Amino acid sequence: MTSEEIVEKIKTDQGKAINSSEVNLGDSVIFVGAERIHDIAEYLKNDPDLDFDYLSNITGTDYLNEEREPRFEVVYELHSIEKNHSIRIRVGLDEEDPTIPTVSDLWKGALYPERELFDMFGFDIKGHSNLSRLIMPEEWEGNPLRKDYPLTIEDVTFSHNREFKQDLVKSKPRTR
Amino acid sequence: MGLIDQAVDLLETGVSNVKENVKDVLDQADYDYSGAIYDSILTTKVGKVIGWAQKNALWPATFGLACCAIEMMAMANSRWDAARFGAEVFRASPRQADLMIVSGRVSQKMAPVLKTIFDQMPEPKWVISMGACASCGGIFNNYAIVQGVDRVVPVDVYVPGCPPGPEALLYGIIKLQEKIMNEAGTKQAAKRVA
Repeated sequence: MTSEEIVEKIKTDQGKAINSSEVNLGDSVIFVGAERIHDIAEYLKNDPDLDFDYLSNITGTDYLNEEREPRFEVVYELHSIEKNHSIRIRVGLDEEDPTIPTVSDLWKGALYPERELFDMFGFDIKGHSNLSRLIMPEEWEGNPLRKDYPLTIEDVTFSHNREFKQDLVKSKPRTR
Repeated sequence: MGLIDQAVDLLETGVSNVKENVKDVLDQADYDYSGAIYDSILTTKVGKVIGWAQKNALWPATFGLACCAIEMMAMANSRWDAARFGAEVFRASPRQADLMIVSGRVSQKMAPVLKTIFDQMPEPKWVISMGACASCGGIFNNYAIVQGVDRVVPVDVYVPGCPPGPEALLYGIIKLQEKIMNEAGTKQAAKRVA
């Protein structure tokens, strides 16, 4: 199926469940609320025409300081090996309560990307069997891929602006 | 004067001549070999000898972390030939090594592993921090990388560069050898095995 056909089919079958849909640069994209994502994922996987049997990836985005609501988004990339077509699901998450149900019961391969989401963005994955940090050390504090996480661990004292540099050296905090 | 008296005189003269000659020869020998004891016997400290032995047989641990490790391997091969300085035997077990070359960036999760490997090495042991990343974090000024391996283990020699070439690392090893020799027989050397 082409991307347009996929979007049309989902609109007719699950029009009420999805928030909106579009074809962006040839990719079919649907926007879903966090409370409906598991139902939609189940439908996409089990529908014989769509047959999305392969979960390519799950990523997260942080739209801090951008004119976009809500702040977080979880992005699922699905692919059908049999039909050779793909879809992208974008699920918006609130800043206060970034909670999303797991899809690891549908695709086993979701376990690791969901752990990565928990590690890097601090999303709460409901129903995940082993929700612990994947990349950072166990006792790490903070979620490094959030936009408000400090970019550098140490201040850089080098600068062409001599006065700025002196100030920085004086006020350089104790490093960890 | 009989013939016998004449013979006795000759004999006495001959004997006295021989005595004189022997005395001259012994004096000459005494003069020639007066400094012999200083030429043939070396006086030193045991610590210096041990340090000399240690510096000429540095066994690095096989511990490559990033691109610097490629240069470290190049240092060991025949072109740069660390064997000239006795540092070519890379041991796969830290228990057989006494030099750790930290070759590359150390991530936050690798730091405890690095510390464990360092602790497993028998004393005395030395650490070379190879490259910008191991020395200060390099370009990786972020949450993932330890900002200098000297926050985890004590570093003896820093080799700058990104990455430092094999010849730079060899220079670092030579500098470490100088350090070992300067420390040998002192309290600092004793501390290393304490």
